[in-house]
This record gives sequence, C-alpha cells and structure tokens, in this order.
Amino acid sequence: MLNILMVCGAGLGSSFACQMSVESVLKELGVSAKLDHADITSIGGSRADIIIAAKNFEKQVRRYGTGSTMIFLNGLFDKKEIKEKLVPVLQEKGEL
Amino acid sequence: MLKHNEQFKNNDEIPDGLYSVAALMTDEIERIYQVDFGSARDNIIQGLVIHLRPTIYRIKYNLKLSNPIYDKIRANYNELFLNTKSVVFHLENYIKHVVDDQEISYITLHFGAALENAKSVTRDRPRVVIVCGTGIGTAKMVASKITSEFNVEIVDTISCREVGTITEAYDYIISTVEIPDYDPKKYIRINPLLLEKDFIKLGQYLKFKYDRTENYYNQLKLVNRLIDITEKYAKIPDRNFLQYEFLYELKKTENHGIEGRIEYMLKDLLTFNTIKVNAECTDWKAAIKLGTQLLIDNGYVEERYYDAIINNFMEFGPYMVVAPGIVLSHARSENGVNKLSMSLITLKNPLEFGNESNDPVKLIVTLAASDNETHLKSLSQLMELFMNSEDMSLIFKATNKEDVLEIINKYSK
Repeated sequence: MLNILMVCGAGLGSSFACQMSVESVLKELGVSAKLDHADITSIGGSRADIIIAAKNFEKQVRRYGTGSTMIFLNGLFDKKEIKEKLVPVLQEKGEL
Repeated sequence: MLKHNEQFKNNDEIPDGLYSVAALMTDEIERIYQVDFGSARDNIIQGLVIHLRPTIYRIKYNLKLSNPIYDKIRANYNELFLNTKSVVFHLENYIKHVVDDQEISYITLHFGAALENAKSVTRDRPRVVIVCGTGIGTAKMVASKITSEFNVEIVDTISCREVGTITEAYDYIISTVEIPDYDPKKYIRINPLLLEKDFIKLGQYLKFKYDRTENYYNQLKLVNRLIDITEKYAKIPDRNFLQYEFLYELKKTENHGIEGRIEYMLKDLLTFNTIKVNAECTDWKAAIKLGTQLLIDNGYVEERYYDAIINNFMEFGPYMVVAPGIVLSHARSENGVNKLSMSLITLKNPLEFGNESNDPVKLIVTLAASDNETHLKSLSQLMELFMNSEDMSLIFKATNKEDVLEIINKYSK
C-alpha cells in the first residue's frame, strides 16, 4: 500500500488539514493508502512514497532528496488541485 | 562543472568560507537532533573541514569516490543519511556543485560519530548537583521532583561530605542539608520536601519546565483552602506535610498527557468568547495578534504563543494562508499553550499576507493545540466548514457573532 506523508511547519494544523482533503480525494478515486502528517524535520525518518506540502516549503523539502515523489500545493485543501497533482503520480505508481 | 572560482586558485589554502560552511552544517545537525555538542563542537567542525578539503578537490577534478559500506549506511542509518544530505545543501551552495550520494555517505559517518559521543542535552539546561546527608534517598527524591518541574540535567546526587571532590562540570549545587566548611552563598539550600518557598527560590536560578508557575500557585491556593476546611473537622499534625501530599495528588491527576479523553467538538472551542466579527486591523501582524489575544485574555495561551506564530511566518513564509481568504494560525504546543482552544475573527477589510494564491485574507482561525491528538476532531469539523463555500461566504459576510455560531453548530455533530 502506498505511504503518503503530509508535512508543514508545526505538524499539527495545516498538515492535518491537508491530510483530510487528500483522504477525501483518495476515497473519490477509490485508492487506499496509508496517510500521516508531521512536521518538516520528520521527513528524514519517514519512508513515505509521496510527500505533500505547501508550496512555501518546496525549497526545504527538496533539500532532503529522498526517493519520495514530492507534491507541492498552493491550497492545502483545494481538492481540485490535489486531484490534479495526485492523479498522474498515482498512475505512475500503478495505483490508478 | 565548477566555474572559475577564486577559492580554488591556490591548492594549499583552505578556502576561507569552508569553516563557516562546516559550522553551519554542524549547527543544523544540532538543531535537527536537539543535541548540544558542547566543548566537542569545535573539534567536530575542524574534523569536518579536514574531511571536506579533499572532498572539494575530488569534486573539482571529477574524481569519483565510492564508499564500500554505502549500502549498509543507507540500510541502517538512512534517517541520518537524509538529514546529512539536507545540510550538505550548504556545501553545495558554497562550491556551486552537487555533492553525490557516495560523498554524502562519508560525511554521514562523520556526523554519526559526533552524535554518538554527544550528550543529548537540550540547550541551556543547567547542570545541577543534588546534595543531602547521605547522597542516596532524599537526594534522589529531590532530584526526581526537580526534573519534573524544571528544565535541568542532574549531574550527580551526593552526600555533603563529597562536595569538595566533585569532578564533573556543574552550574548549581542544591542541598537539603548544611554543607560543612562550604560557603553558603555557593549553594542553594532547600527543604527536602520542596515547599512553596523552595520552588520560588529555585525559580530564580532554573527555568520552570512548562511555565507552570501560575498553575502551581493556583493549585497551592486550592490546597490551602482545602486544608483550612479540613482543620475545622480534624486536628492536622503537620500542615506542611499535608500540603505536600495534596499537591502530589493534584499533580498525579494533571499529568495525563491527553486531556482526559474528552472529545472536543468545534462548538466547544469556538464560543461566544473566542469569536469576533468585522474586526478592523491595520496589517497582518495586528490581525494575528487579535486572534491570539482572544486566547490570551481567556488564559488559554501565554503571550509567547503569539511570538511563536510570528516566528513560524518568518521562518516558513505565509503557508498558514491555507485556502483563499483563510488563515489557520497556529504554532507548536510547547510554546505556551495552557488549554486546547480556538478563536475565529473576520476582517472588515481584507488584508494581504504575502501568499500569492490565497490572499487577501478575510478570516483567521487561531488554533492552540495542547497535544498531538485532542484537537483533531474539531479541526476536521473546521475543515469541512472551510470546504463549504456557501457557509463560508455567509461567515465572511456575518455582522454578528450569533450568525457565525449558528453555522458552527451545524458542523459540530
């Protein structure tokens, strides 16, 4: 099962808000995945396949250069944008 | 490849900036792992510089190095590897060239060794020696009480006779007994039962862990009232001791971590007292301050929670503008959160926060989470509200609190 991690600065507000929206989008698409949210310094220790964060964090998240696919959003719970950016990644990973 | 770069003209000289880069990398590792390398720090940086000199030359001359234990490092120390990779960013900026994974794995080993040897001390934790008559018993009990209230590192617990022969470094000596032949100004004398006046005294030297002073005094007042009542019905042999026992019981019930497993709905948090509509604010900081002030005034958070939120904005940018017109203002719980709480303000005149996609802002919800879980239910209800554009536009246009509360009620099932 895919492992998706939402991150933000504090790890308790916006990342969770994002997680909820991603959950909802996945449900619509009929894809199941393991979701979690954390603050940005936890990326090093995670084994996520996909990391999702706000555009503001792009520079910092990219520094980690993990093998994970990274998605950066303008609106953390804009389902349209999430779907737009998530679908090609899911297809590439064979989930869709 | 490397462009003409001043620093590499002379092969013998260590590029000036290299020391600062190594220091910066080490600083960040300290921050990520919450350690303080202390006196070893300089050695670690020097060691890194010595390692990096040949690294830079290898990169310059395109000499690839492979690490025979690269796979082992990736398998067993991947988190350290990735954290090292993230701080290597500074080196890459400095030499204007990518550093490959094999080289990073060597640098990983360098930090790995440094971290193994480091004491995991949180910065600014004073080192304290506890003294009693024997060095066992009372000293250990006092040590345990002190570590639960203050941010300290207990270096040792000893008897008063051993004070002259302490070898470890320390900042303070705290003693429950008089230390013979020792300058009384050089140690802090307290009662073994750690009475109210001892906490006040210690508070002058040590930092309270959770800034619980006010909470402690409130508890003390309650306990004293209870003891006064008890005295009407029974004879109390030792008031101080009873005070201690009552406080201990109160502390036990308080240290639950998760707030008693009560489920908080959105309407439990966004109440008449924490909502303000059509506020007039001059700029984004004033707006954030207003949202936070609603929580400060009710005692839910300390003043410093506002500073922590502003720091978040400064460090990470306006990511808290999570959707068009909406800010979810918050910081981590250890920054002065007393109670899980939320406030909501709408702005008469929309304000710019610097977020290209979602400015201007009309509504700010300030969230103060007390732990990692208790707020999740109410937050998810809030999110559902945010995703309903009709109800949101009603809130944006609301002229009184009751209208807002009605909508919030809808989402608090």
